[in-house]
Amino acid sequence: MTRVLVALAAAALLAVPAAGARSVDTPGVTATQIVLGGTGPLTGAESQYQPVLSGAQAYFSYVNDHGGVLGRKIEYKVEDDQYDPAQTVSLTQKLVEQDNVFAIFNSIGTEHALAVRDYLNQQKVPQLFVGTGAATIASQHKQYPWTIGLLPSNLGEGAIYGHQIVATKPNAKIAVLYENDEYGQELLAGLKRGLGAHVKQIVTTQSYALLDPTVDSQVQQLKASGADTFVIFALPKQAIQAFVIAAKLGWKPTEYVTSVSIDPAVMQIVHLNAGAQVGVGATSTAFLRDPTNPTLAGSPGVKLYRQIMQKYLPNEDWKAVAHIYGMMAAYTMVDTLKHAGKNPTRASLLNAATHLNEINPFLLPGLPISTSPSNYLPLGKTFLVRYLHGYWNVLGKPLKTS
Amino acid sequence: MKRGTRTALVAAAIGAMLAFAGGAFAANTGTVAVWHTPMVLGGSSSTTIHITLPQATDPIAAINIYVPAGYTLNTSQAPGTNIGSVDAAAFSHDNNLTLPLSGTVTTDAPANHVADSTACARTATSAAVWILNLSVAGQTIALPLYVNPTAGAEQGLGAYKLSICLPPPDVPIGTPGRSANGAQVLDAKFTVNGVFTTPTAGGILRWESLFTPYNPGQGTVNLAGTFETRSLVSLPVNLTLAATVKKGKKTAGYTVKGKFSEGGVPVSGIGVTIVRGPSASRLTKVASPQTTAAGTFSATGKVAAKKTTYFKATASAGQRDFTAQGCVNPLPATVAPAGCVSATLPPLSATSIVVKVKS
Repeated sequence: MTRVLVALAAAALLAVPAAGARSVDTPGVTATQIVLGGTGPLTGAESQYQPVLSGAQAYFSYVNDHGGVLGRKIEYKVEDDQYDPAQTVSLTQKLVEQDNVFAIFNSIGTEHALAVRDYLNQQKVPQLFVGTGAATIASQHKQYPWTIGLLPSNLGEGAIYGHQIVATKPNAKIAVLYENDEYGQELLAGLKRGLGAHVKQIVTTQSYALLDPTVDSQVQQLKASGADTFVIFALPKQAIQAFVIAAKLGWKPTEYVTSVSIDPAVMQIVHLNAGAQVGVGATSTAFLRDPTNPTLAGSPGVKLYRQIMQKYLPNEDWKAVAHIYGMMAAYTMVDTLKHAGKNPTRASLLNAATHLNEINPFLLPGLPISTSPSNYLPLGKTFLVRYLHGYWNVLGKPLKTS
Repeated sequence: MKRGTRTALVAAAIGAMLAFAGGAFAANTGTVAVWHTPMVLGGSSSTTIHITLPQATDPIAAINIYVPAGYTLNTSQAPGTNIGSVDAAAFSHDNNLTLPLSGTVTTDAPANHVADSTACARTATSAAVWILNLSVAGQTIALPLYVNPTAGAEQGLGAYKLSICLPPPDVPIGTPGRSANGAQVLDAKFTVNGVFTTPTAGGILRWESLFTPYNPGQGTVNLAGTFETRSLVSLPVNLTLAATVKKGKKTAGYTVKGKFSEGGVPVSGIGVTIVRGPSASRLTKVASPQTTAAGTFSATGKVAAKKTTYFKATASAGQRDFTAQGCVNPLPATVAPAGCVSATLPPLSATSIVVKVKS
């Protein structure tokens, strides 16, 4: 189902130092097994990201039950860092030095990835498909060639909203709520870039800190600005609060919300707390197939997703988009492993990871996974989506995020 | 609300509560409604238990639901078996939001729950442990429910006891044993399949439930606040239908009559839909009479002569408040110091047989 660039097989693989060589010398690879490692918050306050890991684990189980990758079963060792970068460091070192993993895959968190990036690059351990769209990951690949992200660029996503506002509401008075870290700041910078000459139409911005209990006061101030367009660059909890508080204040702006906050549960909670009409018409971006959207239920990707969830995670929440994200990432990892050769090495794995041209069934159609040695942004396109009739519906054609 | 969560001996309680007769109580309330699909005698089908708790009610520490005598339970499922589904709502004190939760009901090995079963159900090895897998946005809370036959004085309340214990949601963040996100359960409806077999004798079956709250903001159990709710399940539910015709040359007049009853008691004031047509599968609505105080209904009309006509009736009712009559003779204050706060009649749905007449 997937493929790398045709050229890869001929040219790139030949350049791989260990192609066809002794896999016995490659950490984490035996004749029957490939061991991957990852870190993430399995417990603690941020454990909502845990399905990203369990979704990937489930996909690997599915692959293993269908023969594995070129005859090898994948073992995915996941360590619980409780979303604490200090723990990410020690646990990643353990995975590399004690568990001898082949590569680090699908670890969660931008700061967490950055905390181990130097170490992994020094060790020449592939740090693959980090769940982040941070510019620092995608743009510093010359300095850190062993580290590749996966999510669309935050800057690009922000720019898409800017373009859309200019195209649909050129006189908009824009209020922005954003997280006061690299993630929120990059989205805001992208929005400004997309607005171009209209950037002065941002009448006010308010930031919040991740541990703030609410964003009530910020939303009140944003409303007081007289803005008619509300851009929410916030994680799900704060995005829900923003929708609910705006509704309770009687504020009815045109709403934009970042793609990390469009899990079906977000609007479900918004509606339960503020009414069924709140959030209807909001705009976001999406790249994953929403398994709860009935128009996608018959697609092979969603069918496969439901099948895997039913078999390997029967008691977990199949409606959570984080699960399908994890499977999407694992699919790309399996594809990469397949193209790393029969006797893979870390170098051949990196080479395969930087020559991807894949159709991933868990992504919306029209969004390829594509990389090259000079392109470390696997997801270079995404879709605008609008919340109508209970689902996020795709608008138009794929848009570039790079 | 995770497994092993503390429960503070609560449910335990019947004996301990004896000491709290007449204690002061706040205006806490809640309901439990139980129904089966279908509502028949001697049936082994699905059973739904719906718990509601207003947000103003003090957070609940323990819920004990007693299954009336006459039921039998199948607890032989292998661990991990999916036996049903659950939908719930919880208020998150941390987020100031109500959260929707849903998921499966699965069985687990009682041996995995020795400590929590001891704390909640007063027995180290429950007869069965069901896990209510409550998920939202990918996060799942696994809430155990312990199933045990009753013994001693509790046998007066029912043959089996279903026990759920909840952690306190309103204690300061960081308090050990606090519920995740400060979640306070407001509503939980779970359905299990192939577990309960209804009694073979008809009548009104009283499902007693005891709710024991926490002292607000303290995380300590308020045994004196234990209150009683009742769900009155009447079996079987019957909707009868008979039709007669008065033949004519070109048309015939027909009369259809029937009765809606639950546990032999008339169901009054309920809309009945009557459909008719030329075959059992081609039926259209022709009348919608209300049931009388005696549970009866009737409708008349005309059909073409010398034709066969089929009739069917359907009726349904939502959950009904029955507190005024249903809480008469409450449990003694030694058992439920805060009294009987609600009684409900479950939702009903019934379909008659198809009858045919020749005009």
